[in-house]
Amino acid sequence: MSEIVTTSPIPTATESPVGRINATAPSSATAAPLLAIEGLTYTYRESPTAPQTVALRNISLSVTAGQVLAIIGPSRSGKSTLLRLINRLQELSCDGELQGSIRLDGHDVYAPDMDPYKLRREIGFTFDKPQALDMSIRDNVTFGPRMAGERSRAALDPLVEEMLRAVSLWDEVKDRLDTNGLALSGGQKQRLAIARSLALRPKLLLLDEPCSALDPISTARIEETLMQIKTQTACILVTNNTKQASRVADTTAFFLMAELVECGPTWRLFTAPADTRTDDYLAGRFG
Amino acid sequence: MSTQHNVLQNNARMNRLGINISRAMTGLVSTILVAILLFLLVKGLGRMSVEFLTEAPVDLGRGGGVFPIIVSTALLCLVALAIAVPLGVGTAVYLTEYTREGWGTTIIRFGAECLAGIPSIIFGLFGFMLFVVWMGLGWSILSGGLTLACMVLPTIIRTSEEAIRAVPPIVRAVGLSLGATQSQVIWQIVLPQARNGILTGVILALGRVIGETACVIFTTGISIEMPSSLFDSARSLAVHFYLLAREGISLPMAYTTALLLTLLILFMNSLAAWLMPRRQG
Repeated sequence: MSEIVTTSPIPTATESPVGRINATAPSSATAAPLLAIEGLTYTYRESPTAPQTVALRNISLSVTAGQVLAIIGPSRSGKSTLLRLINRLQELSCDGELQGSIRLDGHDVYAPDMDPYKLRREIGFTFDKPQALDMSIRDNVTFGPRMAGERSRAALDPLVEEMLRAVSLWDEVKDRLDTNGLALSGGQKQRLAIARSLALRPKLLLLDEPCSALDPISTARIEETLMQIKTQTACILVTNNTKQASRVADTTAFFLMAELVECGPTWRLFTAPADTRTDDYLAGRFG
Repeated sequence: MSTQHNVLQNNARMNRLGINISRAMTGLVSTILVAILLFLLVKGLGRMSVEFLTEAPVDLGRGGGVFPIIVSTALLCLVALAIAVPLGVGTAVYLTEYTREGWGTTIIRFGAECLAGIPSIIFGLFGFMLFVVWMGLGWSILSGGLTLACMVLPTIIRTSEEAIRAVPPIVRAVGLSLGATQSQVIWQIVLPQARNGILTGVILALGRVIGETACVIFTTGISIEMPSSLFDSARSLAVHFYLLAREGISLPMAYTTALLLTLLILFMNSLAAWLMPRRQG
């Protein structure tokens, strides 16, 4: 398992210690999108007696490797639900009904033979409230690989530095790796959370309004981090901050009331939206 | 002008009165505690010595020390906690992590609450019938430990449940999002984060076990000898105190035993209090 120590955050064709969904398929040289969502409709009941709520209606989207896709839109438009469906966190808290398909590298995420634990190692997730686990900074970073069965310090120790450098947190914490992660500031915790997800070398990182609880300086740091990591890990960034989308995203999708209104290159969406609703939202006329 | 002045003055007076009443009550409560401690110190400190802690009792406890009784008490606590902690924490984990709230959990919780309200002497009788007689364990540390475990189980379930519930749900989601299984999340994240709350409950339970008398007499007996195994009858410090005082064997030795017992429980509770505020992490 020495590859994990020496290679860059993306494994090429090597098998990482945490396993891959498709270990044989090389991650580059394929024109197919990394993530392909087709005709996705998701309905659920908030309580057993409540009427069916449509959280997402007929969504089709794709993400290519090396890209940041931003999803913008007012709250309760289904953005976060979409993220939680992609890495199958949604099913843990809520029984809903799903139509359509989500494919990661061509593999159906909801196929019966898909291991959701393996899938979640492939797809990182960062929550809106910065969350450090109640353990040392070092253990925070290595949590994913350790749970996947990696025990050797020779593999884990270099990972800590590499991942903390990737989120520019290394210089701030390198002298106190064994202090509790809870002692960090909000912005630092959020970068720690990203480092923790990256430690599993995911193909895709989902970020659910990662800067909504952060000050502008911490926000800028997170944005820089995303720009740096996207070449290795594609990102989907859900944000309420349209400016943030325009700063970091290659592609932007606009969600409104469970529907995808439009999706296109960020510059095009912001300068010449095709739909008047997008125009209205960006101009702050509603939402 | 003057009415307003009067109202203000009245408010201030009422406020002062309220403060003084609560001060007086707090003072009274502390006085009781200090009085008990002083009483025990005055009556019991004279016989407190290294020999008292390290020697066997002589002449039914009129002389010598209480070393075998300390050992028996420790063994009782050990057995009780070795059984009650895994059972209690396991139940708490089940109630909080593996089930949804429903009539099942309500019944279990209600049952535990009722169990907590049963007088300890009833537990003693139950332990006597079940462990001593029916299971044939006789008067023994094992019977006593099992009975005490039943007695403190509700406390441990309750405090563990609260401690586990205090761990925010999003922490579990973070663990799961990193590919951990539910049991990994519970063992690696939730329980470590709830450890201080759980430990507080365990120490409070330990305090009850140390101080328990009625149910120990019924199940462990009153043998004053050093126990050679868990199947031997033995006596705890609380039982020893009761017999010394009740049978009029030796009041001075009873007071010294009481002092030791009280100091032990005080120490346990201080430990619990010291752990408690850190629960928030």
